Amino acid sequence: MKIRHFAGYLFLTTYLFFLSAAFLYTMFRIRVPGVPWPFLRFAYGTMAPYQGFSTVNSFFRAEGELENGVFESIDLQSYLHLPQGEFIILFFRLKNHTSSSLQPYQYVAQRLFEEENKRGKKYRSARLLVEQWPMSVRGFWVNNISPLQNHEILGTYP
Amino acid sequence: MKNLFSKHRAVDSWLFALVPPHALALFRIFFGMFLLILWLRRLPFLPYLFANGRILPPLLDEGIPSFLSPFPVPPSPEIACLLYIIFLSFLVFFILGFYTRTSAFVSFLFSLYYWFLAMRLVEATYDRLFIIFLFILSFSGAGMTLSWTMRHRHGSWWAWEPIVVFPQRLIAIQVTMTYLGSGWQKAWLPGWQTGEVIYYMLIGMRSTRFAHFIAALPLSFYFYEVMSGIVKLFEFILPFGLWSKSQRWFFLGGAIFHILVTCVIGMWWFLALIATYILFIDPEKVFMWFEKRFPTPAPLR
Repeated sequence: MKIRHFAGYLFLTTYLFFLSAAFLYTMFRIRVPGVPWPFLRFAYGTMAPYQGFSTVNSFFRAEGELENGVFESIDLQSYLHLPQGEFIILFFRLKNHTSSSLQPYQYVAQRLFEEENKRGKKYRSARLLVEQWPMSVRGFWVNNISPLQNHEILGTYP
Repeated sequence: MKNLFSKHRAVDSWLFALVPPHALALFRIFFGMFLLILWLRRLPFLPYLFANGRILPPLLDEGIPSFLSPFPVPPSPEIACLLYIIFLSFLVFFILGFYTRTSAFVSFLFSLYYWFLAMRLVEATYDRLFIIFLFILSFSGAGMTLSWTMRHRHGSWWAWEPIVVFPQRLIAIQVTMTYLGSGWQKAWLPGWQTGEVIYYMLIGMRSTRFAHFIAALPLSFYFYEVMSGIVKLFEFILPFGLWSKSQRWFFLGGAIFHILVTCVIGMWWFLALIATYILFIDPEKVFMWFEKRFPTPAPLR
């Protein structure tokens, strides 16, 4: 057997091993011993199906507090170029994927405060919040009106 | 014993045969163009995604080997811009087949860098797949036709040299496993046992106007259950169908599936998987198809 073929078989076997481990994890949540979690997670991510769904709509918003105490909206999406769904998922997942010494939403509020300051907006504070409202077949935003909508403040700076 | 030996030879040939490069080269061009569009769309937001002006917190806790920990520190906007331009240039080189392997490998390194820096937050299947594809292509013969290399070596973009089929098989195997995992798990995921996933997907955070239009139609929930069943059945058999003799119907089905996903929930990036279907076809057949329409100039044959 040629050396290149041998190397090819070795690579393929290793690759298939990781893919099989990921498949086992995908199907049965079984973790094959010896497969490092980052590799397994990465490989699992190549075959994870569309599985989660929500029965309410959510959206993340940022606001800046003016000198008179009134909050105005900050265009959060001008800082992140992502489709709406990915944008929402990112903020949901943010808390699980950051350094444990940081409060991720607080950090985002702080960074927005600093960046808006650079853009000439002198806010007293900035905050990040999530809004939730019932779904509608007529559109994503249709029920985002005050009697139906509720919101939660996730982080404020300072 | 003789049978075993012949089987080994068949596997050996399936993995390492020398074949015309046209299937892989066409994939290289479509995939490269797709990547270029994907990354160009992120360009206006570069300071906020990949530079130290970004609003996202650092990602240092989980899953990053310690020797890579210096990399997720975002650079200044100027350096980030320079790095991005270099990355996009290598993607263009990759499409043109200019030092294809090097271009693919550098693009792979950049993709990995951006993955650790920010894209990992989104945790999308497509970003991972594209990183894997670039890595595999970095040791492939994808630049052995329709490339600057061939123009430089033989005087024509259409000239070609045979390549080892191994990288092509690897990408096809990866795509098969992607469909296998995402298709088979739907067989037991609770939301997929009724039409719930489909229904809420149509009116959820990713849904398009077209999706809302369908959801607003006076359809019973039975419609969504049937749709869920069709998707599950199709994805269950798709990984095998792509390798079967009736593969063209599965290519068509897969293409329709991804186009519908794009129309309904806007996940257009999976359209890149349609380009991988060419890698499931016998490279000789792709070559003959290609040769019939775009004959190689006589002196280069």
